[in-house]
Amino acid sequence: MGNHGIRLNGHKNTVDCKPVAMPVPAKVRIPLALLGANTSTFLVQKGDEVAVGQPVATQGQGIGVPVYASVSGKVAGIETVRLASGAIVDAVVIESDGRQTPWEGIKPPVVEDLKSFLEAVRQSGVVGLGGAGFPTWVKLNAEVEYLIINGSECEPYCTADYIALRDFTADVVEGVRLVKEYGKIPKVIIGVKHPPQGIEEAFKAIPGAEIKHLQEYYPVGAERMLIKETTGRVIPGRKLPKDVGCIVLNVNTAAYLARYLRTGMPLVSRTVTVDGSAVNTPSVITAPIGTPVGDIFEAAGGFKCEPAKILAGGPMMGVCLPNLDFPLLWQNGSFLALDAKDAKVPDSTACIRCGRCVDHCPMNLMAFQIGKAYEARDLDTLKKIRADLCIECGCCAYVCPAKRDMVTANKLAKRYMADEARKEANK
Amino acid sequence: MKLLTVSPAPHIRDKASTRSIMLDVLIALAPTLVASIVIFGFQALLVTGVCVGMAVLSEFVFEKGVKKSVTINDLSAVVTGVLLSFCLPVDIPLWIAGLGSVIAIVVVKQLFGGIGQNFANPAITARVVLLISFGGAMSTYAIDGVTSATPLAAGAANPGVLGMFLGNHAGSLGETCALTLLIGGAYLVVRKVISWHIPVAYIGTVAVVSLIAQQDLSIQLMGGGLLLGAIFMATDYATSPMTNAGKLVYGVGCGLLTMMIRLWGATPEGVSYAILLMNILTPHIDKLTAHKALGGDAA
Repeated sequence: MGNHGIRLNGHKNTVDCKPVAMPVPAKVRIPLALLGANTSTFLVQKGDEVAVGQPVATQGQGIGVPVYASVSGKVAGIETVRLASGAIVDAVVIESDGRQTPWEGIKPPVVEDLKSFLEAVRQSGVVGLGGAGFPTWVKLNAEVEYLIINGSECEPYCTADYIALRDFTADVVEGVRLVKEYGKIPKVIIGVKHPPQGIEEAFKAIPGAEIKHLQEYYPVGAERMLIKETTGRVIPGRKLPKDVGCIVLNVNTAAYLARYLRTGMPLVSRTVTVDGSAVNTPSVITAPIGTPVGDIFEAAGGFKCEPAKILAGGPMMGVCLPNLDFPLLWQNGSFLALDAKDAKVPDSTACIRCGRCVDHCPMNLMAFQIGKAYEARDLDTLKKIRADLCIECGCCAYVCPAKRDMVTANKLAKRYMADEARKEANK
Repeated sequence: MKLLTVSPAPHIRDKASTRSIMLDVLIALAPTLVASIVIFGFQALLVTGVCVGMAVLSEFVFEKGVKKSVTINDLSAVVTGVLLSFCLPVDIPLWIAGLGSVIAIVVVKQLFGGIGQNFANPAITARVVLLISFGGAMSTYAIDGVTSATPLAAGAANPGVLGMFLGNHAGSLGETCALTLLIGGAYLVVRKVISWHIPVAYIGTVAVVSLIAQQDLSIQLMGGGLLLGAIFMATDYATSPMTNAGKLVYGVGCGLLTMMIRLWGATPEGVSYAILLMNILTPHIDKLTAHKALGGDAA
């Protein structure tokens, strides 16, 4: 038994938009935002001329992927930037010449088997474009039964995945086919809420591919929910999709993979939904990685009123940006600007034990207990109620009539549990 | 540019608030208030007014006194006041009614930490305290100036099924009119303020036990405080279980205890005591009926 999350107003204002390439920004800052970025090596230095698709840094040992110039121009230096997560990382700053000259070294990779395929995926610079930003080649390195393509995009406003499925169908299908063939994955399920026309036909090119119409609830696109909805399998504890024989791939991720294998041009730009009550023209914009968020809003006609809140991501799980200088990251599928009314933070009051959080938690957690147990630093209770399994989707806080900050409490509880586990392990 | 708001996700919230929920409860209670005025006269409104006024006032004074933020705007004290008045007889001395509100708000609710923290239902606890302290005034039910016992009492007149359904019989202010109580309950279920589990389990259990014990079903269901208790008191968030399974257990428990008291106890009515006893068991029911996390068996 499991709960079925919540129903949300979709606000899919940009669903009929065509992706528009924005003017080349004057400057991009490409952060080394990946895990292990502290072991990065810069391949360029201040003053170097770079072209689009030229590698500018390698990041991390082990799971890292290369980082590429997203504009042609001159390297202005290496700066530190703060990301929405709060992390401060190095970034390669490039002043654009506006010409977008492709790098001469661009050529399609030679792929023969899984090993060379995975290396190509690594070289493509592709990370999970649905929001996680986890290196795709690491995820694909598993033997599984199901390849699940996530096209559900259940956050309000967000449309980048739907539009990829509609406008870049061939790329998505090709990407899925490549992953399926090299990974020798027997079954493919494409999970979508509202399949664009012609999708069924297009996926017939892949034998055994099945389109699954997902139920209309949030967070049906969360990995665990999606696997449950498409295969009926439940990921045990904190294990990974591959432990139940599944790989979940975002539609945009699949499309970019296909493009890299065809052209050799790595992930240097992506489509993002630009929307929210303070935005003049809700749009879908293709922008170079590292473009300042402010420039992306400019490309959507700017603001119709003073924005009071800027979000990277959707309204349920998105992160607030404190200013408009933040660079576009690979995993950002949407930017929202909210007016003062939408940005208002409600006053929270005491828990009235109404039980709505318990009724709506998609992970079936006794959500109301987590904050209380965390405040008491009651590790035993936190373990017992499995606070560590919270997926931070925000359903509990959304339905809470007392407007409590439940997600924050859950995040703190999870971090506390992880810290304590580490202490225990080091004993 | 002005400073931007930075706040944790989620950035959208459902419209329902503590206040809107309490307002829904008040709307659900309104038809019964009207019925009580029709049945018992203007004095019914006065009793309710005193209870509500004293409940709000004592919450305000207490919170001011202990320098807590004042929460009377959440309307929960108003709900407590109405509910308490609904389980009082119409000719209760007004000072006793007011005292009941003070007990409900200060002793039962605020001293345990305020809204959501009390382990027992404030209105019911206050009623029980008044019943024990002022037994005579609390169990003298007058209708049209004639004092009589509630239909549950041995030897009392049976007002007939229709009379019972419309509430034209002796009883507490808000317990007699089954029609308006059911309308209120339906409203709360439709508005998703309460779920059906507790009222249905509670009333169903009473019905089944009544049939087994060969009692008059209409008297058992509508002659006492069952409907008021099952729909409005036993569903109190703070003192009832969280999960649907827990709510069913709780409802059945309330039903069994009510019938035990009615059949074997020294008093004709058992709803208040049954709910109060089940309030105490709620933390244990919660523990035993907690949801299991999805995939929660593994590390």
